Formats: sequence, C-alpha cells, structure tokens
Amino acid sequence: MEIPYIVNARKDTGLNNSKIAIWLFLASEVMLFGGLFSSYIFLRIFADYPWPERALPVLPGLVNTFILIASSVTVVFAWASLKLRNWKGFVGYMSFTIFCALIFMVLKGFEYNAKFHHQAAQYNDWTTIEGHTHPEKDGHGGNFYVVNANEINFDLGSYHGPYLDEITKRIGDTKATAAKNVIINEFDGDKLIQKPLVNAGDAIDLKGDDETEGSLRYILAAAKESFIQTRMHNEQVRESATRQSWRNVRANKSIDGGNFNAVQDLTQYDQAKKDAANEEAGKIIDSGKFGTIVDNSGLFKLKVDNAEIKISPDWGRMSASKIGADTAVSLLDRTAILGVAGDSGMDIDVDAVDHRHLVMKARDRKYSQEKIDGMIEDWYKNLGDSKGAEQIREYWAMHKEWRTLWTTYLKDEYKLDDEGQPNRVPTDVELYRITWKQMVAYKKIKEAGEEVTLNNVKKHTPGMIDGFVGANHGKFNHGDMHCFPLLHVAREDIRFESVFSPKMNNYYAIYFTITGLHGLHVIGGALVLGYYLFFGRKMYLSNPEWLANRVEIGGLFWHFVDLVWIFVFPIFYLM
Amino acid sequence: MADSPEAIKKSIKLYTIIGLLLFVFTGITVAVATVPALDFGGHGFDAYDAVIGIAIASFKASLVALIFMHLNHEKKAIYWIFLGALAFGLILILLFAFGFLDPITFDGLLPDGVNQ
Repeated sequence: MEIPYIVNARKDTGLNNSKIAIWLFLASEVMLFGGLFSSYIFLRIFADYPWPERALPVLPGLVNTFILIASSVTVVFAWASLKLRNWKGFVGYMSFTIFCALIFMVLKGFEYNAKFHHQAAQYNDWTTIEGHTHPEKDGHGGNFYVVNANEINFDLGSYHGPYLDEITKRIGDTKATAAKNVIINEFDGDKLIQKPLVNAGDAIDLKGDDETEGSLRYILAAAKESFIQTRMHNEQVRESATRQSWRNVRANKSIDGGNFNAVQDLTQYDQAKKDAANEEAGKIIDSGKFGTIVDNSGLFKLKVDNAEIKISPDWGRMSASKIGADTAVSLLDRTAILGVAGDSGMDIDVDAVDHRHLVMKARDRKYSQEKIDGMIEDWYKNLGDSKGAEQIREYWAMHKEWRTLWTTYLKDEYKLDDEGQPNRVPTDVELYRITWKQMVAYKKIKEAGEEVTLNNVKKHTPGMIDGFVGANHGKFNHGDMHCFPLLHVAREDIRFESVFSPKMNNYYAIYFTITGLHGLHVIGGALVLGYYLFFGRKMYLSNPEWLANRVEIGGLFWHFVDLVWIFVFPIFYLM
Repeated sequence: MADSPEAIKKSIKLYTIIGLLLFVFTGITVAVATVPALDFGGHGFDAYDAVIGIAIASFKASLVALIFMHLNHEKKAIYWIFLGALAFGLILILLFAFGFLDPITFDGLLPDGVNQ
C-alpha cells in the first residue's frame, strides 16, 4: 500500500504526515509525563514523612544527563549527514547515539540494582536505619521470619509452588507427617468414589514431585483436584436444586401466569427455599463425607517436628515475632506456618542512621527540643551492647561534635539577621542523619586518633567516585576498614522494613515510575533508531530522502526523551 | 526546514554550540545544588533552589525544543499541536493545587499538619 505524503509535504499543512503523527504522539507524551510530574508535586507537598531530599547519588544522574545530551546532538548530526548524503557519517553518528542509549541503561541498571539491595528498617520510634542485610550464611544473617514450626496448613485452592519448594527445603530432613486422615473424592458420572489418600501419622516424603506417590506434592495435587471436583459437584447440586424449587413454585396454581412477585408472595419464596434444601439434602458432599482433609476450609495439614523454617518477609506476615511466642506466619498463598517464633532479627550493616521521621512526628506533637533530643538518646541507649551498637554510639557522639561545629561555622560565616537569628542554620539532614560518608569519615578520624574538626571530616569524607551509586560496602567495610557497624535488630522493634523499592515510600514509587517509564522510552527509541541504522541501507540507496525523514522523526522522539530527562535529573537528584 | 547543503552545514555548527551550552548548564544546575558558595536562598534545599533548578531545566528544555526539534521554524500545525499539549500538560501539572482547596467552600486551605 502506498502511504501518502511521507516524503513530500501535504499542501494544506505544509508538512509530511509522519511529522504530524510524531508531534501528535509527543503531545500525548507531554501530557503523560505532565500528569506524572503533577503526582510528584502532590506526593511531595503532602508527604507525611521526611522527603528524601537530594537522596540519590548525583554522579550517575549527571553522567546520564551528559550522555543523553550528547546522543541528542549526534542524532541530529546523523540526520544532517543523511541530508548531505553522507552514509558513513550517518552510520558513525547513529552508532554513537545507540551506544549512548546502551550506556544510559547500564548506568540505570547499576542504580536500580543498588536500590534493590539497599535495605531500610524503621524502628518503632520512627528512627530509620539503612544498610545492607548480611547475606545468609551458616544459619545466620539475611532478612527472614524464623519460626520453629509444628504445623503447616496448605490451602488447596491457592498454594504456590515456589513457596512450597522453599518450605520443604527449609524443613529439610525433619520428620513430617500428615495431621489427619485424608480421603479424596472421585466422581464417576454421578457416582462418588471415595479413596483414602493418606492416614494421620503417615510419614510424608517432602522431596518427591507430584508424580511420586505418597509425596507431599502428590498429596497436595490429588487433594486439590478432589477439592475442586467436589466443590464443582456441590455447585451443580445447588444450582439444579434451586432451579427445581422454582419450577415447583411456578407449577403452583396460585401464581398467575408466572408473574411471580417475591415480595408479595413470601410464602412461595420460603417454600422454594425449603424445596431447594430438600432437593439438595443427601447430594451435597459435606465436610464429614468429604473426608477429613477438607473441614470446609480446603486445608491440608502437615505436622512437623519443630522444624526451623525461614521465610522472606516479602512473602507474608508474622503474627508475633518475639522470640518464644506462639506465632503464625501467613503467606500470600494463604499457607500458614504455625509454631514458636525463633530469632527473626535482621543482621544489617548499617550505613545510615536517620532520626528525621522521629523528629517530624515529635514536632507534630509539639514536643520540646529537649524531649526530642532525649528520645534520640534513648534510641542509642536501647541499642544493646553489641560491638556494632557501641560503634554507632561513637559515631553519634562524633556527629554531635561535628554538628555543633557546623552550626557555629554557619553562624559565623553568614552572620545574624536583623532579629538576631542566624541567617543560616544546619538542615535537618545535617542534624539528624548520619550518612554513610560521615560514618567513613568518623571511622577514619578515630583510627588516625584525630580530633573531630570540620576540616578533618571534610578531609576523610569519600568523594563522588567512591560511592558511585550509593554506600560502597566493598571498599569501606572490608578488612580493618569496618566502617559500617553490624547491628542485630529484633523483629519486634521494627515497624517497617523494605529495600529501596517502590514499596519503600511514595518517593521511591514515583522515582521508579518516572525513571522506569523514561528508561522504557530510551529502549524504545534506541530500537527504532537501531532499525534505521541496521536496516536503512536499502532505503538509503533507493530513496534517501525518505530515510532522512524517518531519522528526523525518530530524532524528534529521541530529543523528547532527552527533554524529559532534563527535568527528571534536577527534580529527583538535586531537589 | 533548511534543506540546502549549505544551510545544513551551517546548522551543524549551531547544533554543536547548543550541545555545549546544554553541557554547561547541566554543570551549573549541579553546582547550584551542591556548592555552598552558590547556594542562593537559605542553607540546604529550599524554594529558591527549586525555582532556580526548574528555571535552568526549562531553559535547557527550550533549547532542545527550539533548536534540536526545529520548533524555531516550524509550520503552523505543529505549533497548534505543541501548544495544545503544553497547555494540557501544564493544567495536569497544576492539578495538585486542588489538594489545597476546600471542596465545599473552595477556599484555599492547608490541611491540618501539612507544612506548618
């Protein structure tokens, strides 16, 4: 099919159709991103938590800005080369553009990866610590609910394979038995055949797959099938009973021509219900007849002997986490692990301590500064007496020295205003947050036996490269240089924990939404430009002007992607 | 559209200059946000920094739109499409203002506990 006005302009618009089309598309994109930026403003203004101001590492964002600007220049060079009929120039510039897109996405990947591995835990007093969870090793570390299980209930309707695998792996070689007799139903037409599947007390093989008779997966699969079949059977019985009862009502001569009015003829209505109940009686396979696996809830109960099961908090919720408490971990697939809570504490290499949320809450309640300071001190007191806790207390003491010096410096440097108030005071971030770079600086000052002075802190603070996408644990937490204290946080002390994913808070939700959408645009744009580069030769030889037009259109989209990033960068990285 | 080879060669020079300008202004944005000596307004992030940051970003975006996207010499139809999008985009961005409105009296009210 011939598409009109692709190379030549239409008389009425003076433009070729492709250009109109891409501008219409860009118009919709402007509104899409406009709406998202609007939600950013809304979320920020009405945030009920301290907004993570200038929280992202600037360098990757800055490099990405340069990369996108450079690629914007080269894409327009590529177009100009085509216009000048310089194929080699086009190939060179376009390759560079696509290379830029690739580098951009790689950097974005590093950034996202750092976020997904960066853990935060908020204490009940709203103090937040950030860091990296210790990898699970020798039964320690990681971020898990730990429960010494004695019973596990699998929901036959919804149990989820990967969860099942994880649970059986964690049970290991501990003996597992069926808690009750299990009888399954099979239907041969209307005829019900009941077969015992497993008896209470039978040992269950946890390793076999759903083909292995007697294994957990086999039992669950068979019971699930039976459960579904029985429910379907019961539904059919109910439906036909209801239909029959209404037929009975209609057959009743007191009803005129079928114009039955349920409100007026309540007696008929009651009669219909009674009929239906009679009709059903004896056909519904109730809990008693349906064997003991299904006490109407469709659960398979597995007894285990005090097996230690660790489950990621992302998979469910734990009802009580204090060590020794009777607890239940309910997973998203409605599996319930019942038992006694083990030590579900989180081992975390702390690379930031942040009291701003606590301070914000306290200010909302109009607490005095003394009281707020006291609350913060209490947090440090309650950390326990581990080595890590001691280290954090030292950091806090040094941080207090530093912020006193910093306050004085700001006052002296920027003088007082007419009312005798200092023109500049430290920000809440400086007052109430110990950043990872400060931790490194304090640690180095202590090792060197130096005093806390502004210059010393500045001297020992890592530069931009040292923490390209965030706290550099590889460099500053190895060997003698153990800058990030290891803290064991009891689960019941944690109000909320999350990695820095969209779940963390609205800031990260909108950050991932906007940068993620922008990243998809980069990928999409690069694909289109790549198509022109790798498959454009034929068109160049036959109709170079058409290819030039195409590149111009693709370039317009590419500039738009750059344009969005020009706003994303300052808004997310610098504000 | 400049279609003659001379005009295109000429505009290549312009594109280079604009690219460099964009680099420079990116540097300025970062400097304004990170160097204390360039901190207008108070210490730390505040409204001044927001206005300056957005102003520089808008300037850079205008350069991209005007020069790279040829909006400095386009046909009428494109301007209509672009202005329409810009208008609706701005309306969308300003929608947050409704958060400040009392839905019954339409007075501009700050909800309790916000930014006080």
